[in-house]
Amino acid sequence: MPNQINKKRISLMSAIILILAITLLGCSSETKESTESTSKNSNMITFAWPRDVGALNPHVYNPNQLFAQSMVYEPLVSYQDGGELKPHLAESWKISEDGTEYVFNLRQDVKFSDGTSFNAEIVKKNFDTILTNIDLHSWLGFIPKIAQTEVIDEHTFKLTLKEPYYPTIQELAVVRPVRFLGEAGFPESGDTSEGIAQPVGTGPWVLDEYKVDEYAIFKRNENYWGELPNVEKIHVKVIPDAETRVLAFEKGDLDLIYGEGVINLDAFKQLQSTENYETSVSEPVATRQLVMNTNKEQLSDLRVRQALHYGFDKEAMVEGVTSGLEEKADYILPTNFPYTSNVDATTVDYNVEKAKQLLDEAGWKLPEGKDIREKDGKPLEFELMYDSAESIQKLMAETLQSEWAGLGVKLNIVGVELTTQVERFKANEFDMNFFSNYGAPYDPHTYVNIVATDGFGFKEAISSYPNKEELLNQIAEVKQTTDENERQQLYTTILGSLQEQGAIVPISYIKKIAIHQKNVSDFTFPANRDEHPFTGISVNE
Amino acid sequence: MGTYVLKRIITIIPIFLLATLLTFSMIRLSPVDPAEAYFTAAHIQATDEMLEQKRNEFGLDQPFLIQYGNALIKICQFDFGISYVTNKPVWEEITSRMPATIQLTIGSLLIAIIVSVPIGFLAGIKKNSVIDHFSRFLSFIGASIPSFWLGYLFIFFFSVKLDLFPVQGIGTWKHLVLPSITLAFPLIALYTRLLRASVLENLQEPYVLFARTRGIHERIIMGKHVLRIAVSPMITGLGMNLGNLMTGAIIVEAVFSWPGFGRYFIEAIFNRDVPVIQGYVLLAAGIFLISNLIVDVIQMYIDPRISRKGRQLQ
Amino acid sequence: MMETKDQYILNVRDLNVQVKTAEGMSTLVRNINFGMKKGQVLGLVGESGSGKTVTSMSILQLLNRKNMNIQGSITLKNKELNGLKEKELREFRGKEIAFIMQNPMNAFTPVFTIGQQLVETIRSHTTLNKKQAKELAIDVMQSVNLPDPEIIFKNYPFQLSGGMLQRVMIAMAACLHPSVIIADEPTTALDLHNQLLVLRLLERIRSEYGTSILLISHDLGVISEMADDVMVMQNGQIIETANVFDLFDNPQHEYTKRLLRTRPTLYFKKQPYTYML
Repeated sequence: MPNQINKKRISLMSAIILILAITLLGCSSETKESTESTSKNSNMITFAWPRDVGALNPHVYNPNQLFAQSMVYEPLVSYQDGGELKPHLAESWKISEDGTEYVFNLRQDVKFSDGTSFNAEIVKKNFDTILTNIDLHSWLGFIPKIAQTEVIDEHTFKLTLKEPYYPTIQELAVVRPVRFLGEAGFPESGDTSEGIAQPVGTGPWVLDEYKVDEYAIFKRNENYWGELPNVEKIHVKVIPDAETRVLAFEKGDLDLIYGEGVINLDAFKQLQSTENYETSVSEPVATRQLVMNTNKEQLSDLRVRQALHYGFDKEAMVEGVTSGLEEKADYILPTNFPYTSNVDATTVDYNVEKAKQLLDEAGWKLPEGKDIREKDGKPLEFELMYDSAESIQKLMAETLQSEWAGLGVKLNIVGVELTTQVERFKANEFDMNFFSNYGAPYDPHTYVNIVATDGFGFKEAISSYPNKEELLNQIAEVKQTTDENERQQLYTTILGSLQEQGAIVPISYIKKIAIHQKNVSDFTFPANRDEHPFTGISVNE
Repeated sequence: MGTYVLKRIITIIPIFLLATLLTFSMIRLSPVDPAEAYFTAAHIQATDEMLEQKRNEFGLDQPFLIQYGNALIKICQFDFGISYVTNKPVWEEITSRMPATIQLTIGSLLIAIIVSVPIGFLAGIKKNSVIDHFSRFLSFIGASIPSFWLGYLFIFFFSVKLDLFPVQGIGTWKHLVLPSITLAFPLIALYTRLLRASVLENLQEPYVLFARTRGIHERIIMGKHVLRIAVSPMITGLGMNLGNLMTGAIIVEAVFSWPGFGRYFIEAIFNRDVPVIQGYVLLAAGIFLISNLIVDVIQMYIDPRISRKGRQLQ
Repeated sequence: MMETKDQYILNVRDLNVQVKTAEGMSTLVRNINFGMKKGQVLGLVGESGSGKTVTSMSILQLLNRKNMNIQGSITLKNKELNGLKEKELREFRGKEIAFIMQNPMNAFTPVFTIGQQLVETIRSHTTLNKKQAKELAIDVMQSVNLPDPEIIFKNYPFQLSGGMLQRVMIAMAACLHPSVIIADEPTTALDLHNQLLVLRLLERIRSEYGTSILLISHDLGVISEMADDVMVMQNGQIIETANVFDLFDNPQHEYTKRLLRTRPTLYFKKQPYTYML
């Protein structure tokens, strides 16, 4: 029934529909190339990552992703299996007697991906820009200790420290911030913390295509000085959801899933059981620890701490909670790091009787008709906090709660946000907490450093160790000593003592997992926990 | 009618101002110290001096009203601050991700309308028929199944098994299908039922009988008269959901790796990126207000009673 | 009272309507027999539930055939309506038989203008185009003395008063010159002044077009004013039929007597109408 109003209505409706249609079509007209199909059509590996790779700035942190930074930028020294430090961009180096001067002989045939030369000038430039933002980087031990950076000649660079610090070489292997950006990558101001002009590095990969929050494609650096990758391209798809990653892998959209906690354990086991894929689990990368605050009265007694350690079936718990993906840990740090293979500490095996005995000895007795032990009228009760987002921590907390209840110990568990967990740990506002060390290449020196430094939570937690002063001195010394043997001895003592005193309980070794399609071969886990897994990898069409 | 629209636009302004005041106050009242949050996001161990300096920079030592006033002036210029994490303007970060979310919202709205209107309508006219039972089944499923589960289900069947659509991502119209359907499902559940009920109610109304006595074809009575009136509550509902859709497509965006600003918002929360969170909340408020306005305007076209009430002819 | 069938415009014979309930078939109206001549106003009186609505709906064939059983003969100008196909029935409704509803405020579709609905009715029964239909509608409204038909045409139902709407409804009913108009309580929702206007209008239509009117009402004043003959219904049956004077002066059935007794004031109130008309 047309009249004026109807006509208006019809034109309004049509206008709306037209706008909608244009919006939809317009937005979808970005037809992508068939980067949807897998490496089957070109020598490419498709990989998924939960977050966008970031700006690929070698000198800054979040939201840049470590693995991506490690594909494009290289270190002077590289960290290999077992803690071996191999020459990389530096062919060799000499350390002075007093341990404060480091002279590096740089490799001479290295070029950045844009063809410019890698030399001492650019090395110094990179160090200098890092030093202008020293607050950002003071977490890395050697940086605040740098006194001077010098160009000796085109291929010789010298680094002078204010005091001796042996972990310097090891720390040069980290993924960020001490890797090298080419001249063209520096912004006008020269300060990379503001941003970079282009991601120019010396590494085996170069950024080819990039769409924020969607994907990043890296192509092989044909001018790479080292061994050229077998694969021509790496396509990184940004897939934030773990289940979706599994589905994409099952469909064949992904060639490789790799990382820690990237897919859940059940999914991993299920994919493994189909036998259609290759699965692997790495060597231990870190230790999951339980930290007890010895400031708390109930936990100040060594026997109580030991009893708690004896009082739960570690093997069963780790096997049950992680479905065998993690391994029962006997040492605070995994033994495949430098200096950690020879630690003198008693292995604690599951022994409920012994636990109960220790508690009795410490004066915590079970009153008639009650479930919780008491001493001087106080109950043996404390609280364990865990990261509410981590299901493994939660499950372990629940297991400990029920196992220790059998000893007459009341454990209250509380799930908190990660930021809160960190804050409370630092402020020493906790009874028990989960912790894990950084891993390679930061340990063991970063770990013991954290233990000794104020404001991280550890130093306060171990404050009632009887040998605390001695321990702190040893830790201060181990960083400075230039004697290799002395260093090894100190570590053995420090780590042994930390463990013997029982406030730090090793629970399990964390490992990385990987699954790939059968046509992918030569996959290896990187020795450096933060690096990419594409070294040597190849794919058959 | 133009005056009505104008009046509505004017009422939006004070409501939005109230929203800005609330957001601003809540952020200031929360235990998060913006200076600390800034340094944590930037991965810097801040000394007390640095915190003081940053607080000065942020103007946190000034009286509340002055801080609020400054923020308000900036908001009028679309300056929502700088992201703590990326150091880019918040406005830029949000608007660069908006098209993707808008696309998803429109896609799911269209699907919701295209599916619920016929089904709801037919279910109402043909009560207890096959279509009616189907519509009730649909509503039940749509209301009970959580969207992420539905999303995974769709991906599993239509993408992995049948290879009809891609698993995730954005790009072609094929990428839009599964996420839109997933996002539309709860809407379909709700609105099919709503429309069905509305139709059933209307069928009892005298005007339907009267139209029949005038000899109007049943199809015209149903398709023109009844549908027009019955659809009205559904339009209102959809409009209110428009705001929800845009700001709440978070789950669907996560499951399908859809690069919209819902996803970005989640990251901002984890990173304690205060300016982004603030900007997002204000944007959400704005979207809700505007979508309600749009719905009201559409309602006016459909139901003339709304704008003309009070102008009775004797 | 039995005249030859040909003289009746509308002839209802042995109408029985039953509805399916949980306990079986239940009778709604029984043995309904009556006829209407050209130009006759037949009043139908009864309380609610007596079967008035069922009767009028049966004539229009708008009862739900799925759960109702309609027996008997309903002929309009000798064409049998009971059981006729929907398509053909539609041609009758609105054109040959028009219906006027009780509450004019609800009768029109609220989201279309009066004009749109008038034109809709006209165009579903004629081949007129929109412009012609509009002209016809406005003419009709004019001829029944509705003020400002052009404005009414553009108005929405909610913009008009009850009395005005009722008169528009009647105009709409009349514009296609139906043989029969069924007016279901046409004055009940109105005030006295508008009641008068409505009755006046109906009378006008009857005299100008010779339309037969089935006037359903429980208001004896209205019945006494307009009807030529009256049927009284109770419990689904017609218990008395008489011409209007006879009925009011000499009611036969007990029920009729009771009805008249309970509304004495209205009965007396009827007097003023005659003088006003």
